[in-house]
Amino acid sequence: MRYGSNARPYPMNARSPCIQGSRYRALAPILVAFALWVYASAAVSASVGTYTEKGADTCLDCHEDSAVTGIFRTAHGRPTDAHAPFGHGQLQCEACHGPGDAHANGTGKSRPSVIRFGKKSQTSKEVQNEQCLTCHAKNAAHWGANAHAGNQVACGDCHTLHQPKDPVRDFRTQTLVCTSCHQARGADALKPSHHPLLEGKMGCSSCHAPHGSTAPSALKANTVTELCTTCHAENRGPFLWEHEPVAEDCSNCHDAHGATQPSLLKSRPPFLCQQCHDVQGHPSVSYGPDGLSGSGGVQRGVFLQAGSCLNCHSKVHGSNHPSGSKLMR
Amino acid sequence: MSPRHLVRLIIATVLAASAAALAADPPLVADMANWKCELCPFDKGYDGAVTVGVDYASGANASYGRYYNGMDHQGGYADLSAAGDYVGAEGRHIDYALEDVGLSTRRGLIRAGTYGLYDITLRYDGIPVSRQDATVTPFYTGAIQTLSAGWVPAGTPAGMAALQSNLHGVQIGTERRTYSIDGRIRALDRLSFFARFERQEKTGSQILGAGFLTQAVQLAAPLSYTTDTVEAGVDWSADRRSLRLSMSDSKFRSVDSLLAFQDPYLTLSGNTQFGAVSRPPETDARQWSLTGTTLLPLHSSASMAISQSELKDDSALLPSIYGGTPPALAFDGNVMLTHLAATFSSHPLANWSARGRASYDQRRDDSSTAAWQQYLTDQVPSAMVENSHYGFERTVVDGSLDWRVFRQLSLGIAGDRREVKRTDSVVAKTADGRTYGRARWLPGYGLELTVKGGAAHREASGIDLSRVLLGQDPLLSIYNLSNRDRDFGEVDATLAGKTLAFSAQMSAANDRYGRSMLGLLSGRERRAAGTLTWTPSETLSGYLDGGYQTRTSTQAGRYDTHAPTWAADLRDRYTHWGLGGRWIVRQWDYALDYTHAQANGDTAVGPFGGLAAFPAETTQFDSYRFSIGFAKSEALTLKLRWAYQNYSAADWAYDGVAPASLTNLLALGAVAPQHKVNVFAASFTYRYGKRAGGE
Repeated sequence: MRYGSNARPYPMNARSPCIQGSRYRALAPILVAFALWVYASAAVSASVGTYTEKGADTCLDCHEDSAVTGIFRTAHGRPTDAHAPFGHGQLQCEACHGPGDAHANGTGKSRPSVIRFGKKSQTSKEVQNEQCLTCHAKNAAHWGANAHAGNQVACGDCHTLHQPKDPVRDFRTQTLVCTSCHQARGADALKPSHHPLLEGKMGCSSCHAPHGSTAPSALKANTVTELCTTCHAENRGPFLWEHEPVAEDCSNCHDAHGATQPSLLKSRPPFLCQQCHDVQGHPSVSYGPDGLSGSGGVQRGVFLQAGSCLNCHSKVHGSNHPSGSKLMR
Repeated sequence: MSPRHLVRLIIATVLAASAAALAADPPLVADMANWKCELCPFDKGYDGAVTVGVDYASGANASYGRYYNGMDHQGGYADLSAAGDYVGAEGRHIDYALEDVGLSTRRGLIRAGTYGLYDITLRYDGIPVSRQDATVTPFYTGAIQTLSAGWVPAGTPAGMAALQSNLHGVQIGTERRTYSIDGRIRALDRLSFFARFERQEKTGSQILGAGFLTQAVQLAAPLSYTTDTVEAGVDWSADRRSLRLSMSDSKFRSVDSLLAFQDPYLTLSGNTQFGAVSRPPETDARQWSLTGTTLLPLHSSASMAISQSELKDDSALLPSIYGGTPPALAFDGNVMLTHLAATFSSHPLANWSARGRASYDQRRDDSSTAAWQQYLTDQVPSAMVENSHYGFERTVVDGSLDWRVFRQLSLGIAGDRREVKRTDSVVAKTADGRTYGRARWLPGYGLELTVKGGAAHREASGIDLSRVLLGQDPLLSIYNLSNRDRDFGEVDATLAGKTLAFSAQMSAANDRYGRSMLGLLSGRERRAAGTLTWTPSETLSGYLDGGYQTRTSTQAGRYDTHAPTWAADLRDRYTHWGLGGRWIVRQWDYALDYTHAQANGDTAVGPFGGLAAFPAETTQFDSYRFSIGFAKSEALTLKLRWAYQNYSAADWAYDGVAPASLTNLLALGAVAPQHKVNVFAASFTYRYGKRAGGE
């Protein structure tokens, strides 16, 4: 970025010196900005900190309650981990809370606050998160472009770092943390058909990467289908006879967060199937209530009740039967 | 302004902002000569707890066991759990947790290692799901399902003279057991390696339909699946950047490749009276991926991901039972999946931030292709059909720009575009575009209000008439392959007060499929949900929550003309609410919860203007839970729990469908879930070790 001595020679078809002069004038803002940048960098290297005199001992002199000292039962509070805040040579409490000398020596209302975390913190979300990302960038590779970052969510809004067991890292309590904001998803988890979230067998993080991913909806896998078949591997194929929407995206038919219909289906067969299938081999019949058993109409049982279309087309996820082109075998 | 000037201006702005950012936020240096950490209560020693008790579930059945609780029959269950940890010198540690040992939901974890150096974890988890326990079948179950020697085939279940005398009970449900071992070791300052092995076993039975064109039978199909996954990788991280390279290999295996069943009707003839349905094929999936991120100047970051996967299916196909030579004895299935993505974010100035993401996914199906003689439902010789293979290329680009106008107000705009190009599909390409705006208002008092609204449009193009399935109208609005207009809005509100906190979400969306009169015509969703919590002290808390959702859709179909002859209106409504609280007073710990959830499904079908309503589908769930804990000492706690759950459902798909009640379906007699269950539990927990004062 050095202009002048390293500037490339004028091209062979260089225009008049007058025009070249205006080019230099146009570079002036860049040069000024560069000078500012150099000045700022120099200022940085000359800075001296205002950390406390005794580190954590200064803090613990006042903050001795278990709500604070719980940190020593977490990964952050392990002195033998050189990379943890309490590891050898690390900044202890001030690694996360920032320099605390002014806070420790201040009095009354003029006492400045250290960096604080959590939903009630007055510290800006960006500052909170940058403190965490200083060490945890690798755990949150895609954080910056993540919806959580875009919606001003701070790490401390979800993580409770001074508790020996962070609720968001335990499936039994994680769902409650996530649904404190994602209220609709919490409601979905109560629907008649749902994944075992409230039962603690799964967590939101079983499928989603809350710190961001390059997949849609911060999924842990690259695509919806790839994610679902991590557990439901029987449906991943490849099959001799494929069902196109299955190969493309499970969420075409299923609502993974919970559904009022069985098997997490978005709608009830035959109507779900008829949203894509018309007359194909057999007519697209109006399966009305008069087709129900005992209704007195023309009984449509095998087409309408029990499994409906799936009574015959049971291999809806794909078939390896040589005669399975209709997904019936 | 010429583009060249614009570029210079951008460079100048970036440099100036960088300077400002650096000058405003200089890193500091600590003098650590007196940092002894003498007051730090570092964790050391052992600690543990054991819980022993008994649960009794009155009225439990498969319907209750459907909710992953391991209680699928009335009776007593042991309540056994244990947990403990030990931290020794130099950070060596081991901890374990064994939960619900007396139930099939049991799980266990043992983890050992040295903090900051390595960790090894062993896990086990059981997930039982009961489905039906009142189902009956005349088939003797197994990979080959046979009928009794005295079976009398008939054209309808009611005509099967030996049906009633041969029905016997069969349970439907599965149990998933997951075993895993994973480890991580930090090899160098910036490098760590990780590896994982996981085995998932899924056994049990499922309902599987098998049809004969106009008749069908429901089978209780046994299943026994195993999925073994190995994953290994390496993490490299420096101060401002990181990389992860990982590889995985997953093998899915199924005990049975087919389910053969004896024909209970009079449909099959010739040398066999057995039909056969294929079971999931054995497949392998391999993947490698590389992920990286770097923090950039100006509070910016960029990341990328590359991954390549391969799905293979080399399993032998079912032997032809019709004579002739099939084109192949095994299927050479091979699908390649590619994922490329990059993200960028920046907030160079305190009031501005921008985010963006671009990704590309490809599914390329290189599986073998051949023409296969079709015998529909084991009985009807049909045409030769060539197997199709679907592939797609999906490109997604999204971005957002936010501006904090002042401390209390932020405005943002965002948009995304999603383009899918398909091969061997009736629609060659769909392109979805979405734009929306949002405003966030923080008026103070812990209140935060976010309003979001926008519109989306999907355009389908390149209809391939040769791919249109036999008889289907090519203009039919297919859920994911048709033009669609959507408008949507959302309001989020949160209040974080000293004792009261409130969070609510409201949203609305409307879909219109306007290009065709067939298939999906419209969809609409309205929903709201919220929770109010009250925490006046650390020992007292309460909550009240509730929500509402309606989802409606209209669709049209036809018999044989290209004009719609019938329509269907579908509406699902869902409401829930609950309240509860917890109060800890001296040695006593009281907790109470009530939850109510109700779903209603309304279906009306018929000719336009004359829709007839189905009986309503309903489910109603009421749950009461109450517990009392008594801490006799720091080491000993007693707990009594009572839970009552009432679940009722009405479902036209299942109600009244006994094995012989339909003319063309030999059913299993599955019923909609119903249960009324009381669970009484008593347990005591004994804690030992340093935190129980016993070190």
